[in-house]
Amino acid sequence: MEINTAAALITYISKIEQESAMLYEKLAKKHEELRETFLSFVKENKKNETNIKRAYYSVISDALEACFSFGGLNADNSLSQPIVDEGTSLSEVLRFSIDLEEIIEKFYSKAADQSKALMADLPRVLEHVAKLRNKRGTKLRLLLDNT
Amino acid sequence: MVPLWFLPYAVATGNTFIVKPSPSDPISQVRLHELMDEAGFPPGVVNVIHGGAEVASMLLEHPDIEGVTFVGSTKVGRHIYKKCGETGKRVIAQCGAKNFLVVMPHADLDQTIPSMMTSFFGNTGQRCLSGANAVVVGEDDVFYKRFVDSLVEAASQIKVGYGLEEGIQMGPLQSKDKKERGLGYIQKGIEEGVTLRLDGRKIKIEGDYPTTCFLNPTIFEDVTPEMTIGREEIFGPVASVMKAESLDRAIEMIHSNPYRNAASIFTPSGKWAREFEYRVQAGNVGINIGIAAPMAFFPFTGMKDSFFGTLHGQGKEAVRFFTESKVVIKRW
Repeated sequence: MEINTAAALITYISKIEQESAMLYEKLAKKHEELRETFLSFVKENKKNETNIKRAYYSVISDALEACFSFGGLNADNSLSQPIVDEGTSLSEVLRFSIDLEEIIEKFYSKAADQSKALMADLPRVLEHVAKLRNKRGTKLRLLLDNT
Repeated sequence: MVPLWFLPYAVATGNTFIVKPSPSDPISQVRLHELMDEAGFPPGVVNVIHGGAEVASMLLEHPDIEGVTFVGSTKVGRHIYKKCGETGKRVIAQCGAKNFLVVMPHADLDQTIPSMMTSFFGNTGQRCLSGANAVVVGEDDVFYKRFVDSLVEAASQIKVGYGLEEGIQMGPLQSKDKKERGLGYIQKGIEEGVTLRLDGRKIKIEGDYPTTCFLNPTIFEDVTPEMTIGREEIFGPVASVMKAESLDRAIEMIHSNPYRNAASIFTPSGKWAREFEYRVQAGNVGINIGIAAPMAFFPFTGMKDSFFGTLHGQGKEAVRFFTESKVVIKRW
């Protein structure tokens, strides 16, 4: 699905953050040894969603509401809830999560870049979340190396 | 949205407030006031009265009403200002506009064009902060061509349709009459001999809806400030591109228009931005911003035919508007 309005972006971001939080909640239950790490991701997801919505709604203006911010920004269907069944090993889970975080980071970076023509607050928070997802990817890679 | 430029300040400073919505668009105000009732506003603090010119006249003459705020056309705003002068009411009348967006050489088009899309075509051009005329400064024909081509390309990609669908970027005009008005200006532009680069009369909308009120983005090139479409407020998705040899000339063009609601400049140069900011006589000035909409803590400062009154809406000026000053001199 093509995202070409700020409203559509905010809806999609909620979906990304909520669905990836659900994934990490499942993983936290399944992999006790990484429970704290995965739950910290869940907490961070909730914070990301709140911060982005706060930035969007608090700087809401004619500029943003007019909704011409985005062109060629696509909602990636591969971000929808993945299947984590009983047989999935921890290393497979980590590899999948690394790929997922890369896709999400790229999405946020692109969204930040494309919203630079408008109010500064939104691209700033999107860039910040992209950096957080990058850090999360690094953390997951380290965990994979140690698995 | 518009009554909220005034209503919160009025109520917060101890006034009661009457909203008379436009007869063409009363529903949002009814809902807003239902929500206020739900929130527990005491009866009579905020009130809605529906009606046309007759009701407005009654409000203008009512002795218990101390002040009037208005957003609408310059013709009506001028009438209200005059009438309130006679009846001794204070006035904020925010009126029509013809906003210029100045594009300096070397402006970053990747950021300028999206801002301009928002400005020209956001709300289908039906707002007093909409861009109307883009003035490209300089004699660099390559830059000019690149700008116009990018503007036309971006505008032609705008998804037009039912405004409550998330992916739709531009909805219909407010009524069939408003569309007729827009069509009239497009015809006038053609008669005045300018180049129609993007013809919004060729209706292309997403979904199966009647085209009664739809008009697609329209762009004219080679417009001058004296032409009807370069001079008058269209209040629709019609953009005019003009050329100016220098920033001085661009500012002259802005000052030749009676409206002065907003003006913006797109430039990477701090020098040009500063010069524009200081010299342009417009109420709301944007630097690399297509819609120079002030946040609630700043006044909405239109000038000339875009504003009648002394104090503006929003910010400290609105607080002063809705309160009285009193001086007490004491000796014991």
